[in-house]
Amino acid sequence: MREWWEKHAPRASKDLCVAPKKVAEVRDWIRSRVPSLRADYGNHGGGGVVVGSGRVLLLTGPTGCGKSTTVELLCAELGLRLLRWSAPTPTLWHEHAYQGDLAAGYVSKQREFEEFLSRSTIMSQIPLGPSGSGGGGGKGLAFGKSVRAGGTVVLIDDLPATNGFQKHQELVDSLRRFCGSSRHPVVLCLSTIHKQDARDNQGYYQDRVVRSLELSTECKVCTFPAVTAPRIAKVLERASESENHYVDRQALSSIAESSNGDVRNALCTLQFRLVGETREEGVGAVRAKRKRKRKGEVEKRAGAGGGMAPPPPSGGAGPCSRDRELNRLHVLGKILYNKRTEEGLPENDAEEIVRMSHLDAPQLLSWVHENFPDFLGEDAIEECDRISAYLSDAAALMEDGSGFGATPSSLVGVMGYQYGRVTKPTRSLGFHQMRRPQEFDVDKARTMNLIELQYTSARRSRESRTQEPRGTLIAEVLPYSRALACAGARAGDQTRALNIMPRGWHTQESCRGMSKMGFVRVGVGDGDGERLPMAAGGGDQQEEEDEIEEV
Amino acid sequence: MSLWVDKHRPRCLDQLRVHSKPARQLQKLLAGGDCPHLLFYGPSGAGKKTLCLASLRELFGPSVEKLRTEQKTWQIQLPSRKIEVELATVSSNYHLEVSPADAGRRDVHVVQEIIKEMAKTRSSTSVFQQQQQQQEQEASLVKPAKCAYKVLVINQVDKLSSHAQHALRRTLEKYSATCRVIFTCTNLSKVMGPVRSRCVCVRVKAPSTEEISELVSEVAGKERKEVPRGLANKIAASSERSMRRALLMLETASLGKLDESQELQLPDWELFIKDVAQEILREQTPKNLYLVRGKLYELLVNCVPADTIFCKLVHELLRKVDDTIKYDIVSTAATFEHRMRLGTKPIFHLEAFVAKTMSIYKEWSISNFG
Repeated sequence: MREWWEKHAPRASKDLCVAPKKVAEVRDWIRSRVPSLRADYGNHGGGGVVVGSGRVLLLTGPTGCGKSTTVELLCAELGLRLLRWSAPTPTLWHEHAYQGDLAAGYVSKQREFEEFLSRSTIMSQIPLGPSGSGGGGGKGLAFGKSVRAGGTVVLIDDLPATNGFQKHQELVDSLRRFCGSSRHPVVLCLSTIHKQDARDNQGYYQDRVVRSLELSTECKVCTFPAVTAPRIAKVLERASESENHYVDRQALSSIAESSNGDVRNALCTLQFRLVGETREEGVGAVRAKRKRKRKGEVEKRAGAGGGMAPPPPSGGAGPCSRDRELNRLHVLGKILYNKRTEEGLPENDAEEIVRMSHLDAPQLLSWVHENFPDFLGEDAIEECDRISAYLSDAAALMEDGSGFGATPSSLVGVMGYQYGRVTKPTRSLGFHQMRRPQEFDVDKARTMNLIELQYTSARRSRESRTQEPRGTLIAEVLPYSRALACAGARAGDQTRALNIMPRGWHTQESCRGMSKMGFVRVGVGDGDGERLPMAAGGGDQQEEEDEIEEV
Repeated sequence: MSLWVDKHRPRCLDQLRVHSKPARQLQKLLAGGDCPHLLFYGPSGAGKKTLCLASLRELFGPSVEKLRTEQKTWQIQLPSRKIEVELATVSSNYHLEVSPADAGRRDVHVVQEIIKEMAKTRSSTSVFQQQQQQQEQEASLVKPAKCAYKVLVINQVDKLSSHAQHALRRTLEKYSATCRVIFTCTNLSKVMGPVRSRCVCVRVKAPSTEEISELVSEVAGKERKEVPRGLANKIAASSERSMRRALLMLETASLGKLDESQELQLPDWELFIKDVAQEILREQTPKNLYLVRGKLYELLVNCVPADTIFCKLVHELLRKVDDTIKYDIVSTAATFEHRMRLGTKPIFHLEAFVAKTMSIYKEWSISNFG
């Protein structure tokens, strides 16, 4: 059985449910970048190959909003060849290990990706494999159907997952090299889903890919918004009509709403619901029935109070739709604004919010914790005290591995907030920007600093002939060596104590990528806000410090 | 250039001034060339490590000071999977020093595997020495003088989990033929009974302020600096009876002019915590709580342990508030510190303590001043 999202995929760019403006943007970009098309594109006279800058387009957007489809269709319409990286069927490691003779040799996905990149640059004119996506020999290379104008667009749909910093760096390097030197325009599709979860490693890495691409080449970013529910409903209607099924409009729109702007998912849901349903007979039967229904409705309204059953409530959208999700901002809003009913009870059910939020307890609590002081009145320190005590309870329950699971602890936190906050704030809150928890950056910086300290203590043990506990290193040795280095710098004696200090030091800001690394303002010592260097790095860092102070 | 703390650390047991009495006892104990398991306990900066190193030298002679510092990786086969534990070690041919507490939750494996491995295999030199001794023995019937076992120095036993301490106890029994262990810790009551009873416990008490002030003048004399009596006393008074801190203070002070009026440098994070305490008592609003949170974050980023922050903050607060609310503050601190040990996210508990303190203080100031 073919899946409907494949079967009913749009055939032309005008059928796309992406906003036409965005489609036009991508079309213009491709046109201006492919040399053979630029002649008739007009603006640029010559057709020389522009290498490097501005040859990368980054398409982002939620899943299933039609990013890759748009590129595919546009290429087909413009008569361009599409060189597409799509993830090959992986050879699993244990398959390779135990049946080495049978399965194809194990090649890591990343290695294959790099191969793909290099082949697509060097030997772009030679057909690289059988056309179409079938066959293991194709190694994920698939061509578009018609090659008329002779231009080529490289589409990278799904970056290989990388594990560990070094592998990731390799990926970034190869990608950057490729994007810098590619003869063909490159389109990179990334789902924004990864970006939401800041502590997810893969998302973090992907974020860094994007950032390094933005830095190295002039990369145009185009964000597709999620497809709106009415649009999806229209697509669904078209699909169901061509399948000769009659579906209630209301049901269609409820499917569309619950799909969160994911067309593919909506079509899958529809297909699933209609499995085994009877079809209407004949071409156009569905449309006719719909018309009849509409007339009936009008008549019913005219008749005023006929004996017909009321339409089913649209809430659940039947047994086979997706659960409604709340995104993070909505969840936080529901919790923090804490609307109350007439009797003074919280309006929103904490359990329901927690269930719908899909955030794990550490994340949810961090967000609540970061933002809650803003929602309290000026002198409501008692409430503050109660709420933070509940949050501390929640954090104590959250101990990973044993005891209570995640949900009870987030419930304790959320309900603690709801019931701990008794008064209404005196000022109106209005629009409020939620802050991202500082805790994430703090944790990251702290972990990196602890690693730095490991090396520092190893260096130090060479001098002290023994190991010092980390506590003493932080509490006594390092502060004094900082002071020594500072005083030494004043006295012109630079070398003093510098070899003890860590070589690098991280701050909260440096982890967010905001400022230069290496200096923290802890020096309240002399009262004049003097900055003590936290790390030994030689002269150039000293200069950096001066720069900062000048600014 | 090494710090004065390291430079002037006494190397032999007879050089020790501060703990001369336990040093002499140790000397007698080790004179036979054999040693029991030892456990040095006492506050930070009291001289546990110095005693330990000096005892090692007494046992093995000056060649024990040829040290290697390594970042070793051990692969440990668990029933279900294989894990790698990385740990820094300081070792000579005769001894190995580790701090298994740094391995966090994996300390059990460290203790079980690494120590077992180390204790089982004797170093080649000691085997060689043994053979040599046997030959000498046969030739001239001289009594064997030096021991043929390795010494394992384990730091911070009190920070080890109870699992790890249990493992340690078994290791102690099993390999006592080839291996002696010297423990150091600050809190003896956190070391479990069986481990304690298998060792000779040596109490290393914090030196008195007079002793420290003498030490300060002595070290300054060795560095050819003149420290006035008043300044030495001042350093001793603010050193919290820790020799390490006193010497670090002295070295920092020696860069300036050494006279009695000189301001002593306290560790920057302590000043920072003082600032936090002041901030808490200045204004009790959610907004200020948020500011305080930022400062606490800064301390955490700089790797100051959360329990140290708790301790110091309570001390600073107690110095400033009225007697009537001291009890409440301490009890709150105890509650939240305990919770912090149970759970995750130290900032939640620190902040809860700060909020509670603010509310206690506010209530008190309203009832007193209206």
